Amino acid sequence: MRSCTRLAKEQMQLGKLVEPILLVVSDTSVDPSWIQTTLVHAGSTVVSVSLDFLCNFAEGARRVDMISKTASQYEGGTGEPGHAWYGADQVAVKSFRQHLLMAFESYLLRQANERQPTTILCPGCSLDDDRLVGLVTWMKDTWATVRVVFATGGQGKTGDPDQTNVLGDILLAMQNSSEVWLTDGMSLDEATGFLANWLKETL
Amino acid sequence: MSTKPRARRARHNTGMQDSAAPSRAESGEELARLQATALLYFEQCRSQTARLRTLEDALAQAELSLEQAKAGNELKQQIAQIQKSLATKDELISKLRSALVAKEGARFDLELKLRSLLERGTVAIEVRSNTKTANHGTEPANVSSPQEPAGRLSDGIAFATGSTLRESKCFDYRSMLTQLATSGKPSSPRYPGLAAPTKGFLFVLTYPRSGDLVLQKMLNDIPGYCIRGELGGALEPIAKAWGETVIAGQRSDKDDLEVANLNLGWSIADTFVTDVLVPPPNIKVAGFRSNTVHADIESFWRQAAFLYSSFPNARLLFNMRNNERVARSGPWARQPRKEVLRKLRNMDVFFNEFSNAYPERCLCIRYDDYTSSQEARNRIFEFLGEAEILKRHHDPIARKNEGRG
Repeated sequence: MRSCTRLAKEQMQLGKLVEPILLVVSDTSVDPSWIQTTLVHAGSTVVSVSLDFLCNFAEGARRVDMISKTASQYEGGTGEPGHAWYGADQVAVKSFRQHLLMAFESYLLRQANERQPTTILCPGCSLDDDRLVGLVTWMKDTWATVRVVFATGGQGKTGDPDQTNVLGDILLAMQNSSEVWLTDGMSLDEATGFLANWLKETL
Repeated sequence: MSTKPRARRARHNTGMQDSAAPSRAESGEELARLQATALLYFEQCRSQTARLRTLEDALAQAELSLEQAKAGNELKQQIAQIQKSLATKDELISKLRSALVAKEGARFDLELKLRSLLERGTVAIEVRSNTKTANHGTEPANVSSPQEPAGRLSDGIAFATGSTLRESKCFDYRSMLTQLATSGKPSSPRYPGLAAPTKGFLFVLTYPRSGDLVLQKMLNDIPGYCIRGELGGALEPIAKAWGETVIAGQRSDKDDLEVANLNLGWSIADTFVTDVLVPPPNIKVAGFRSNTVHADIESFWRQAAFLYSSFPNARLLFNMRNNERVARSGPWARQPRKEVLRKLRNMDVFFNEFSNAYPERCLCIRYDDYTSSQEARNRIFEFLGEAEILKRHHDPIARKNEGRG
């Protein structure tokens, strides 16, 4: 578990959401009503979005990065105006990533009726989805105040993930630092208590 | 009355000499008394006159106030009438909006029915042609062009895999754009990037090897224009995310739609302008050229609708070229010819569909036309509101052609 870093504090000030936020990626094996009830029981303001929606933001940021790199290879500093990638050398990749996130945050705020959302829930995701690695990496790089939780079902109370699949890759990318595994095998009290304790330790 | 003073004077003159001095004194006192009385009366009179004037003034003031009160009442009545008229106007606008959406729905339903018939092969129909972009006989007969049928729709339109056109959500984008026509615009202070180009935005949507670089150069030659290169690719996934909110919004009411779509779209567009397009200062028009080939109509509509609705006063130029020539060019030549022609024909149909639906800010143009015809170039410049520029400066393409000659 890690505490709120200086970078996180700086980014909190940059963005619209001043409080840490939880991203709950819920596997198809998890009962959607169970996860929703658990989060509400834990006192969260939950905004539900699809994984596609989130991944498209991450992909947009990745594309800009890619275009910028490709353009630098082609233009090689010549800055020829008629070139196919004209202007791509001026792209502010980092700023775009940050502002894109702020646009996303604004959307979340509106969805939460201008209240500070505490949880983004992505229900019905496949935890084998390759896009998850890119999504979590983008979020961690750009949005230090986010904490990612993967909810899986049918793995017992500890819910140790298989390190060889996509989740394992994510875990490695995140250096085993800030993910927690809920299972719908837990009782409501167990799950909310576990979540509350984890948040307390993390922040 | 007239006899008494005379008699008094007679008595004075006939031997009453002893009492003459006291009488004079009495007369003097009386005179003084009379003078004092007269003075008192005069003062009283003056004071009464002053009071009278004050009363007159007060009366005039009261009359004025009364008139003002009357005028105020009239004003209040007029305001009430205006408010009533405004309420009626709002009601009419609301009805008009509903009618527009209903009309759009009816039109789309009709299109669906026609397409359904076409898919069953029972009816053949030509795609609507865009007469504004009529070509000038530069196309071979077997290539789709705006004046010619673009093939049967069942051949031309690419549907999202395993879905009907309605399921492909184009209806949602159309309804959203119809509602957008009566919705608000982004405010300048909140979205400075969107307010930077004084005349708005211009996006060139086309496919590779369509002469798009020539067009980009031509547009960038217009003073105050900055059309960037292939940066549109970055917007595609984000437009997809935005599209999801459109679909969600259509299932809810109008307020939700505006909140979900417009604000998110404007935020993203503003960010894109500020950090990706990065137009130079004092620019008139900013934009980019995109040559992404869309596999299905939904993907194309999502992108075009996002550009059209999220960037203020955005104009879309759809650049087409003789499909046969394109298919023989560059990387296209290494792909199966039939498949290439199908893709290009689809794109041309998509372009025509969108520009026909929104002709105010969309124009289909053909490379084969504007590189050979002054008239076609004039049409482009008129569409951009830059006809004067073309008159003042020598036509860039004509100059280039002359140079070659």
